[in-house]
Amino acid sequence: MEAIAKTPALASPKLIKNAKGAVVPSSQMAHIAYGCEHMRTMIENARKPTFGHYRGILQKIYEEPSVIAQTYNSKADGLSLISLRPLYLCLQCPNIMTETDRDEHIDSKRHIFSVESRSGNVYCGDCQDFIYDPDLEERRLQKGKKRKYEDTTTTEEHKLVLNNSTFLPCRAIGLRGLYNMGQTCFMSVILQTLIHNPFIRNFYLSEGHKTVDCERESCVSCALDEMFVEFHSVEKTEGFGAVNMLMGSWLAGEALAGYQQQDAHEYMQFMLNTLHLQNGGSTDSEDCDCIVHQTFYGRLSSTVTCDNCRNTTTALDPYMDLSLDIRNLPKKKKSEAANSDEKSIALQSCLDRFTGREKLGAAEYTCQNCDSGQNATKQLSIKQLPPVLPIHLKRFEHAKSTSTKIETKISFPLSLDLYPYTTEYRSKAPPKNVAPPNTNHNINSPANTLIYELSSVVVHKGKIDSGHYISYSREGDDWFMFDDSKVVLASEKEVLGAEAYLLFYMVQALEL
Amino acid sequence: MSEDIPADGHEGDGTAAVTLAPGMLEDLTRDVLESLIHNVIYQTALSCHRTEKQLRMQSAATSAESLALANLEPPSQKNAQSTQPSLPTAETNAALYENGRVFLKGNPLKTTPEIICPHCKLPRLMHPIMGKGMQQPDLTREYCMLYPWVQRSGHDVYGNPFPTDMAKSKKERELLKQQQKQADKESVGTPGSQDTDMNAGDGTQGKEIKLNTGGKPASYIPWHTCPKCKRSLLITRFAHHLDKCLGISGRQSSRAAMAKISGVNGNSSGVGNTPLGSRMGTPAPGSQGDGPIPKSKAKGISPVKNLRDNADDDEGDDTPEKKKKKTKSSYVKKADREKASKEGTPSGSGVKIKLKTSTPSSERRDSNISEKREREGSEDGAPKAKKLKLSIGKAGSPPAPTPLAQGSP
Repeated sequence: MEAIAKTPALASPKLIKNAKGAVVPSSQMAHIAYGCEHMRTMIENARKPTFGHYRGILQKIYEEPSVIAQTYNSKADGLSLISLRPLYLCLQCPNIMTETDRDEHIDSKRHIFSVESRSGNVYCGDCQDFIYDPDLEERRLQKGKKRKYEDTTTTEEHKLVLNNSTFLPCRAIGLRGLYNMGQTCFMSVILQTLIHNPFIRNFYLSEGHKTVDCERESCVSCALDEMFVEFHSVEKTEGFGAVNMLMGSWLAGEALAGYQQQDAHEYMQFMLNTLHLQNGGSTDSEDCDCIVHQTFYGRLSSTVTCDNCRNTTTALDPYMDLSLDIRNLPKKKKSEAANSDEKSIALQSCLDRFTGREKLGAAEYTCQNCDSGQNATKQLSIKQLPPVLPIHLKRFEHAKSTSTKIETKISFPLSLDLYPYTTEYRSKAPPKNVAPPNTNHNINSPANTLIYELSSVVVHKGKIDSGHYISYSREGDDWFMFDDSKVVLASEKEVLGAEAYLLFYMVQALEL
Repeated sequence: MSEDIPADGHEGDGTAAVTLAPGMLEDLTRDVLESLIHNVIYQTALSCHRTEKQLRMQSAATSAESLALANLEPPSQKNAQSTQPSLPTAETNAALYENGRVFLKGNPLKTTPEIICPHCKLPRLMHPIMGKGMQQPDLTREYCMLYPWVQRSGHDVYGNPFPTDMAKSKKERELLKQQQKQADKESVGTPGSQDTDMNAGDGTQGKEIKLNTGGKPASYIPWHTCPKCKRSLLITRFAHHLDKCLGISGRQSSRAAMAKISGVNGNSSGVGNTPLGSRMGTPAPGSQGDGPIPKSKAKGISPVKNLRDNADDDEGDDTPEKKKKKTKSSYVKKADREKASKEGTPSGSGVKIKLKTSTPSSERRDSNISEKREREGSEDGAPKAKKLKLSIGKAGSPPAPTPLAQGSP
C-alpha cells in the first residue's frame, strides 16, 4: 500500500555545478513551484483555505475510520453507499463522489480539484490527470500531520555549500561490489548491508565520522567512511578492495583475525560494537546516542513467573539483533511433522516461538520469594524496537565436537508487523495467533501495528565449512544482489526465495 | 462503479437469519473480488504514474532552468563583479523559469517525453545498453551516466562482464594481456581502454560518443598496496598476505612474512632459507564464488609445482634468482599498464622492447619506487577529496533522504 509513497532512489546526494563548470544556480535542483497551472491559480488565490482543507481531507483518510471516506451519496436515490473502490473528495466542498460523479461535479460546479480516497493524491479536472504539487505532496507524505521538522538551512549556508562543492558523478549511487580478498565474503556481505542502510549512510555522508580528525590507527570507522566516499563520489563501477577495512577489523578484533572463514553474524556483532566504540560510545553506558545505538539498539523484556507463588520478575536486556531458533518445533512433530519437514517455516512462527511461554524446571530457576527451586514460566518480548532490526536465523548448530548447518527453508515477508511480539501486546493478550485489533478502523495507518520492511538479506550458500556468503539489499524499489565484486539486479521473488541467514527489517515510517 | 455493493450494509447489521436472494452471495462475492483487484491495479498504476510524472516534471523544470542560465552566462562571465545581474528567465513549451522558480505549462507527461537528469542536466538513457530490453541509443548525443540497469547474464548492473580470471596465474594473465594488445592493435577502439574514452567524451560534441560501463575488462584484477609493508599485491591475495604480514597465524608465518618483506625491500638476499612448507599455493578459487578452499589444502601445494607454475605474486620465499626474474616481469607489467593509461593508446611495441632489453637494475629500482608512490597516490587521491561531504555542522540534515530515511533523525 505504501509503495506509492516511495520515490525511486535513483539519485545519490549531490551538489550541483553547471555542466560546463560555469554559473552555479541558486538551487540544487530546479525548483518546481506548483503541480500544474491550475493549481498555481488556486494556491495563489486561496493559499490558506486550500492547504487547510487538504489537511482536513488527509486526516480523514489517514486517521478517521476508513469507512467515512469510502461512503458517498447515491445520485439516484440519495442513499449512503459504501464503496470498496477509490472515491473522490472535493477539495473545495465536502462532497465525496465516485469517479463519474466527480467529472460531473467538475463540469457543473467548476470545483476542479478532488482528492482520491485511498492515499490522498490530488486529481485536477482541467488537466484530467493526477497532479503532484510539491507543497501538497509534502503534506500528503506527512499524512496530514503538522510538521515539526523545519529545514533551517539559511541562504548563506546554502551559498557556502554551493561554493565548496563539486559535481559528483550521477552514477555513483553506492552500487559497487567488494573484491574477495581471500575468504572475506563474510565481511563483504555485512559491509554491503551497512552501506545500504540509510541511517548509517546518512551519518557517514554528513561527516558523521571525520577521518581527518580521527587519531586512531587502523580505525574501522575511518575505513567505513573511506568506503562511503569511494562508493558515492567516484565514477568507477568495478569492485572495491576493502583493504583498510580488513586490516582495521583484524587489528580491532583478534578473534576474527586471520586468513580463514568467519561467521557473518559474528562479524556483524563485532562491527556494530567496534563502530559504537569508535563513534563516541563507551563500553559500559547503556543509553548511548552513537549512530550504531540509534540505528540498532533495542531492549528485550524477560519475564519469569514462579508457578508456585506467582511472583514475577522482569529483566530488560539490550540487543542489537534477534537470534531465532529455526529447528523444527519439537512438540508438534506428530501432527505437523509430515508437512513441516518438507515445507518451509514462516519467520512469524519463529518469532512466535521466540516470544512464546517457556517452562523452566525447578533445577533451572530459583524463586527468591519461595527461596527454593521452583517450576516457572519464562516469556520474552520486545520492549523497545530499533529503526533497523537485524534478525539472525540460527542455521549453524554447534554440538560438542561437530557443527552442522540447518538447511530448513525459512519464508519471510517483505513487510512484517512486529506489534504482536512486543511487550505491550504480549503482556495483555495471551491468546496465540490472534491478530491485534485495529481499534481506529483505518486501513492507511491501522492502530496496533508496527510495520517493518525488508531492507537486506544475507545468504549463506553451501556447507558449513565450505560455504559462500552473498547478500541482497534494496535501493528504492529495486533489489540488488551482491556477490563479492559482482552487483546484479534481483527480483523480489529471488530475494524471498533465498536461503536467508540474516534478515534486516527497517521501520516503514518514522514520526518526527 | 455505481453498483457498489448495495447489499453490504444490510449484511453488516443483519442480526440472525438474513436470507439472501438466490445468486445474491455469488454476485456479492464477485463484486468484492473485482473491487479488490481493481484497487490493486489502481494502486500499482498510480504509483507508476507518480514516479514517471514526477521525473517529467523535474525534467521540464531542469530544461527551462538550463536555458535560462545559458542565456545568463555571457554577462556574468564578462563582469563577474557586477552584483545584481538581470533576473534569469526562460520559457520552453513545457515550463516557464522565473528567477529560481519554475512554473509548469500543460501536462509534463505530454510536453516532456525525455527525462533530463536534474544533476548533470543531460538526458537519461531510456533503455538498457545491453541485455534484457536493450535498445541502441542515438550515439551522437551525450547522456547522463546513470544508465538503466543492465540485466544480462555474466554482466553486472552497469554492463561490465564479471571478472573471469581471478584464479588465473600471473603467467596466464600476462599471456592474455599480450593477446589483448595484439587484438587492440589490429582493431582500434575495442574495450580495454574504457577509461580514456570517458575522459575524451567530456569535451567532444558532434562526435559519436561511446557508451561507458565504467568498469574494467573481465581480465582486470586490481592491485593494492599493503598498508603495513607497502608491497603491492593482487587484491585477491590480500587476506592471505595480510595474515602473514601482521603475523596473525602464529609466529612461524610472521617470521616468514618478515623475512619476505625485508627480502623485498632490502637487496633480496638471504630469503632462500625460508622453509618451503610455509609456502602458499595458487590463489584461492573461492574468489570466483565457490567458497575459498580451506587453509590446509592451500598449504598442501607442492613446492615443485609452485616453482614451475610461477604461481602468483604472494611468493617471496623463492630463491633470490627467482625473485629477480619476477620483479622484472611485474615491473614490465606495471610500466606497460601505466603507459597505456597515460597515453590512452594501446602500445604493444613499447612493451616488447622493455621485455627484451635488460635495463640496469638501479634504474629499474628507481622507477619501481616512483611507480609505487604514484599508485599509492592515485588510490588515496580520490577518497581524500571527500567531495560530497558538507561540513555545515548540521547532523540533522541528511543529504540523502531516500524515501525510507525521510523520517530519520
